[in-house]
Amino acid sequence: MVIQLLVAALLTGSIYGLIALGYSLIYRASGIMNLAQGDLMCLGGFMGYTFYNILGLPIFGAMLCTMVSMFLIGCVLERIVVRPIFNRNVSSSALILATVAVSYIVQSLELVIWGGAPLNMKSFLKVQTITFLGVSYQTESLLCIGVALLCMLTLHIFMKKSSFGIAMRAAAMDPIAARSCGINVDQTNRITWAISTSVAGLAGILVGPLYGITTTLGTAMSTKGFASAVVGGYGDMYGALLGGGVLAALETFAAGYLSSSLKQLVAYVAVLIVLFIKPRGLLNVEAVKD
Amino acid sequence: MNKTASIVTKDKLGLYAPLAVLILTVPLLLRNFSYGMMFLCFCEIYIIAANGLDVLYGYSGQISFATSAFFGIGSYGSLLIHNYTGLPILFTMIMASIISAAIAMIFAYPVSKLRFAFLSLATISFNYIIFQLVTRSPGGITGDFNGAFTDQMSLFGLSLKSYYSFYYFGLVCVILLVAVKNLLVKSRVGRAFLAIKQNHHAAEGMGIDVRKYKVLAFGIYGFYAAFAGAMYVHLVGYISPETVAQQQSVIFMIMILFGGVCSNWGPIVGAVGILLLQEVLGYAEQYQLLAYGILLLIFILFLPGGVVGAAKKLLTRLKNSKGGAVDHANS
Amino acid sequence: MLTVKNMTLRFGELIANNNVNMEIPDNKIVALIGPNGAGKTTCFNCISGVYTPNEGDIILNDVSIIGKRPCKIHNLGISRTYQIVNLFAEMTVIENVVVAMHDSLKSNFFDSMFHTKKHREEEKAAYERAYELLEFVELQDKAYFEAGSLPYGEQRLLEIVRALAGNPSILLLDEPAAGMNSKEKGDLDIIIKKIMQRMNLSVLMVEHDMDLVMGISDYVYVLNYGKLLAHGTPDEIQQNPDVIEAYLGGDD
Repeated sequence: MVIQLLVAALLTGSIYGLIALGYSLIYRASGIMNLAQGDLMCLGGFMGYTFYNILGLPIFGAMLCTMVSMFLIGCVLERIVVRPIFNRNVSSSALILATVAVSYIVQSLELVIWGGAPLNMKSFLKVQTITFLGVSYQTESLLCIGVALLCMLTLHIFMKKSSFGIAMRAAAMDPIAARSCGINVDQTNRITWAISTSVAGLAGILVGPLYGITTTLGTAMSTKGFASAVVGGYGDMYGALLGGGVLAALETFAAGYLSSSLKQLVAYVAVLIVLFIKPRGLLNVEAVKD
Repeated sequence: MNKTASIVTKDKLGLYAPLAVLILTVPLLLRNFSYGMMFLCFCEIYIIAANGLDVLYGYSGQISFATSAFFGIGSYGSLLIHNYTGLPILFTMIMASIISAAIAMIFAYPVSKLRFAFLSLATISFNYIIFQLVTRSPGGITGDFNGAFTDQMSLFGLSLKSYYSFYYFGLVCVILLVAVKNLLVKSRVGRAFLAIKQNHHAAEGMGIDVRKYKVLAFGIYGFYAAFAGAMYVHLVGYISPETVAQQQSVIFMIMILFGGVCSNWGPIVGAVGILLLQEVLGYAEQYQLLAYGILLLIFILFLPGGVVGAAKKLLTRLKNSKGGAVDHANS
Repeated sequence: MLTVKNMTLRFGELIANNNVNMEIPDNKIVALIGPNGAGKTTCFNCISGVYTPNEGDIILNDVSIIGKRPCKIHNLGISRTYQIVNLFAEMTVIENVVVAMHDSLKSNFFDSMFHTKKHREEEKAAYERAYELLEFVELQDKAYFEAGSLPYGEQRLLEIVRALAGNPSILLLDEPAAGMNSKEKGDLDIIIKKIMQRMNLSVLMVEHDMDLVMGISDYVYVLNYGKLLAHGTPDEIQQNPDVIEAYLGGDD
């Protein structure tokens, strides 16, 4: 049973981690927390459903289309919501509420376009389960875990090594100085939003066949992804996945060994404990800034 | 130069007197419209909670997504104490509110070092924890997902079941609690809250115990939210766990942003305005969400002072254009 | 009298203040100077409680204040201004001053809640005293302006007044002349002296403007790389070869 629980934890953890990656990226780039991340994930899921189930594209084509559309949505979001808010110099609390507003608008659009009933995506793979050492695994779970790890690795290398990643980090640390070094801060900001939105969209399409897609999934995922990012260490790519893993493991094992009704309670108590004792997260050393 | 002006000045009397008459006589106008009376009772309840949140967010600058949790502590607290001990309802309401204030302060002590997004996450988590406890209570004393029933409001043996009588009871509560809040924020305590909100480093440097006042703000907020919750449960006679859901907490934030923070009228206008909006939009969730989202963005971007702030600006502009330059010369 | 004894503060590997010893006697103006990054503001932050030194002691009139929080240290009589203007920008000028009297006002929670007679009288007295303090730097005409709307030089003066509102026995001024024009600097000279005499307090200031420092200080401490390089009267410091070397050999 331990192995099955572990795989389940890894699966949930990788999804939380993907949402948390989006949080961390945006935090790194612009120092704000986007509470709409989970709803953007759902939007990605709905789009994936449209491309894959309705339009009948092959799965990788559907993934690509979803990610590209989400990338564009991210650009638009940055242009019409985020930048005007930044230009107006509103308080940090208002910034958080603005992302809540985005989350509401995304949810209402989803309800209008796809309705409130849960949608089930067809499975991606022909082989449903594989058996290894006497334990059978759902192939889609393994795919999900793999993609999450790959994303984390790519983004980490991208942020650390590529010139764009460095520009992005510079823009986040000191926008005025970065601007004077010739970095186009608005553009780096926009691309960051676009990348994290498309990562969220990818998570959404992966979740599709496993959980089904509903609008209400978004809020729960926003909170869990946010919590993962904070538990792991805000702004850190590895921390995001670590946080997701820790949180998911707590939930899964609490459900497995105690009672499934306790799993949410355990998770949120853990989040509070981390916030009280180590508000900078398990990995990060410089996340809390004024 | 004395700025501790009394609340009602002469020129405002002309505005307030008809308003007071209207508020007192509304039940007569709505004699045959009990739904309208129920709506007004709900307005009273949400005005109290919104005022509590205004102390926390508007004055001390601490964001909270846990208002419905404290609202729920008040509801379930008063319900449980009343159902199990049979003590008079007003007494159990106050007890539940004090308990809620205490919980808020205990929660606030470690939380006081967190700000903005981290504070939001802490309050969101707290709200989820309360929701989990309410829906999976030990021994099912809260009725779990089914909700729970209790007696409707009565005062000194006098039943206030009807919306008409509850309205006057609520009115007294609103006037008392709103007056106390408005006096408090104009005292040294309120000044300390504002100082912390505007610049917590400087506030600490100028001798204000930032942690103490942050905890105090949470306590006041916890009391107001819980008192509103207790009123709610004894108005309806029933509470469902959905009232405690985290999503509900965001509505309170929207209320005070809509009305305007840091003003006497802001939370009142905000609570009534959003409740009216809910009535207009009915239960079509997608339109409610869309309206909330767009309203939030508009108020954050263009009207940071809310409706009341915008109205004040408009009034001063009108005054100035009507030769109000004399006012400036005097000040 | 304020005594700093063997104070050391480390940030990981970096030693920001290394075994600093200082003494600020009553009714004197003491200056703390040094090249950029010498640890002057860090030293201020240790004294005012923002940082807690790793080693050493800070003693105010025979009481150790080490490890106390900034609000407690303020209320014990050490008040400060900041290098960057740090006002309550959306409050009025006079409110900024009254905020700093917070601890000296004795109304409790219930007095505040019901505006009892005690609270009203106390508030009135506080506003009157704040008005007097503003007269001191000739800001009384702007008492009801929003603090953030004042010109820069006046904001700096308001910071000083705000620091005086807590009736300190030690006033820490962090680069009071920074960003002021030459006329304002000249006035500042007189204001600081006037404050010291009338308010019966000592001043410790960090300042880069050598004319101001040498003109009004009774005693000067020089920090370099977190360490005390020299101390003495302004004349002694101006002659000191180590100090000249540090200033000329250092940055710009």
